[in-house]
Amino acid sequence: MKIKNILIVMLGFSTYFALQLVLRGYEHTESHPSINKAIIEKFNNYYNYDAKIEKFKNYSFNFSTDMTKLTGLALTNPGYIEGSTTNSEASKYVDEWIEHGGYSADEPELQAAVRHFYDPTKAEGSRHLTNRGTYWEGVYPNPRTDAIEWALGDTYKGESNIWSMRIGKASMILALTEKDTNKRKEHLASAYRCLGETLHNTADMGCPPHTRNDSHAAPLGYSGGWILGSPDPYEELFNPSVTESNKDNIPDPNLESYFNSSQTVRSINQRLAQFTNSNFFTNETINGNGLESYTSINKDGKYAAPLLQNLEYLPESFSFVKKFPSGREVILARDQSYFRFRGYPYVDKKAAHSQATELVPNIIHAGVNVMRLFIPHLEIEMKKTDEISDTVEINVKHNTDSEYPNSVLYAGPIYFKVNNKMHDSVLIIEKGKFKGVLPFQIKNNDMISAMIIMPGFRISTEKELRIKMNPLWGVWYIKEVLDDSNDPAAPKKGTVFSGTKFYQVLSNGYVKITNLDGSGLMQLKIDNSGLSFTISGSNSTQSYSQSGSVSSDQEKWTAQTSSNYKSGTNDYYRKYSSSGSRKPLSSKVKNNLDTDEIFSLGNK
Amino acid sequence: MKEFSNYVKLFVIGIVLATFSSLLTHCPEQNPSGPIDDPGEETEQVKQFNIDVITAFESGNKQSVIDLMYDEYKEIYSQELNATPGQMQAFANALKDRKLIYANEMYAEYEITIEGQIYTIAYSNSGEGDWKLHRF
Repeated sequence: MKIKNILIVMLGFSTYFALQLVLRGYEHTESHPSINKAIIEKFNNYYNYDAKIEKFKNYSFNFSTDMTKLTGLALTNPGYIEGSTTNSEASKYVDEWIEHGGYSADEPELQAAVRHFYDPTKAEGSRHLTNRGTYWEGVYPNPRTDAIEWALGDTYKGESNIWSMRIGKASMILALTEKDTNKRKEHLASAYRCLGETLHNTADMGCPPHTRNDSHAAPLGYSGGWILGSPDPYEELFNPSVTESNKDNIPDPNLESYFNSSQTVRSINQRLAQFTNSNFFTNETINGNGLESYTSINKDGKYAAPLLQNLEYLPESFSFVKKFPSGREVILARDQSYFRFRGYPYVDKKAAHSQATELVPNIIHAGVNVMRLFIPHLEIEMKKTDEISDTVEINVKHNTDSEYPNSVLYAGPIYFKVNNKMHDSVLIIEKGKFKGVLPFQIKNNDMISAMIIMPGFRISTEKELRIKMNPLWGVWYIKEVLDDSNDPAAPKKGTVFSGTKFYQVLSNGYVKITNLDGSGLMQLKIDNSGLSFTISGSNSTQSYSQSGSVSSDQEKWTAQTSSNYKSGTNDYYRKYSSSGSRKPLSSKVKNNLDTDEIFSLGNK
Repeated sequence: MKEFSNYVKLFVIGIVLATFSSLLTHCPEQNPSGPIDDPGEETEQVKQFNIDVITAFESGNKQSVIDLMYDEYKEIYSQELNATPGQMQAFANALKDRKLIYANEMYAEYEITIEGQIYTIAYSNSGEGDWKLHRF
């Protein structure tokens, strides 16, 4: 092949990778999803192997691996202003919805650009973005809505946010009270997208410009971007690799403890904002005495903390550093200057990535606890109503808390494990309660647990329930073989009969034996100890006796059955070898038991 | 014309080969976005702006440099640019051998070396592509 041809092929080869680098460089639409992803992973790891808290002792989580596709509305066309974006139906996995919410929260971009700020140093009602207002308020009226109230949606300023935490919790409740599987999945898609958008707010509270009233350009390709100001170096230098590199750092111990004990999402995000605001500069909100006395470039950025004079200065790297309780030494700003040796301090890549080493783990741990509060606290209890029948009671109890203050009455499927194997049958319950017979046969000594399975998490009964019931209780598929008879009207010896009966053992020493539709009632005495049994009954002209034993696995029984009756002065008998099985019989024999036809006693 | 279409075919073959090799070797879950120090790539606009910055420093005219900055930075950096023409020339020369630290479509940061010392300089734009000298 000519060298020229080889070079052209190589040019195409390298162009592919060059294009990837250019496009990958613009990362801000991926930073938040990467943070949400890291939060999900930490949540799974944090609570799956050690429940740590009473609430989750019977929960298991699989947000990252659940393979259920949930269909809901996803942002499919981004835009700059309200009305310029489009949401369309999409199917995503659980973790994809949460990550998607991390991205969609920033759309439409101008709406988000002025609602994603929270200044914890200001009075309530005044914590929203005001910086550069003289530029942009003429274009877009200031909604005077701070980031937390927008994300949580629980005040009048945030209630127009249709992807808020408030809507997310409402969607979760709808999912937990919806019996229809498809509608349940739609509600969950909404719930998880809302969770993702709330986690976007959590991440913003760990981003210095968002907590220091530092307006900055974000949108790309719009000529009006300058009204929001210049880009913030920390934001622009942040990309998914920064998340990846710092996600396993230990959080600040004080923050960790606070987040772990928080009872509201609001308190978590507020606390994180306070931490970020008071401990980190942005490039335009640097204050204090370094080489000289400096005030912030941002006229609204004169914060009391941090201050340069309270930081340690490392002359060898021209760095202002702070040592955090985590043990990390973080570069907050640098002042190296060619023209002045030391100049006006700034945030460059070294400082931004150093800040991220402290901020990222705290964002993630805050997010883990936001998720903790987002999941309602349910408990499933299952018990037998007595030790004879197969009737069980199931209660799904909701423990109310600050985020879910009203009781949730669970409606939907309950799944079961029987003797450590998942059962195919599903029970649909309503209003959190059930009392009755399970949709599958159970037998004495079965170990059963019940669970609610939701995409992303499942809740199980705390302990398995050991079934105690009479080993004869329930449906039996019965075969009778006529062994012997002196009755001239009897069929020939060896004739096989079959039938299906329901045995309802009573507490008074009797058993009711009926057809499955309740007809053909026989009420007879029963005497059983362990697996052996004798069923008998008589009146002036007839008597019946069946003695046998149930197998150790309680799936079968065998017995000798005899029925006797008087006709005039004659005493007739018929003797059978009988057997019962929990599984349907396949024999093609007469459907009615012979004992049905020649013998029936009324109710005692 | 025939030769040109042949070149196009070969170019496309190169891209296809690159696509397959990327698919065979790339595990996105384990390698989300490349290493943290991945600098990205300079766009043509940034390259052109670098020329403007170099020209401004080479001119020795401090106002030419300050005019490239955001309004809110001008006052501070007017005082920062406490430089002789020789220093400005040295800075311009160092910029010609700049090392890209990071670039996306809104922000770029470089390292430059002058007399063995490493300094950084940053540019940015507010989304409309109108690049400014963010700091030096």
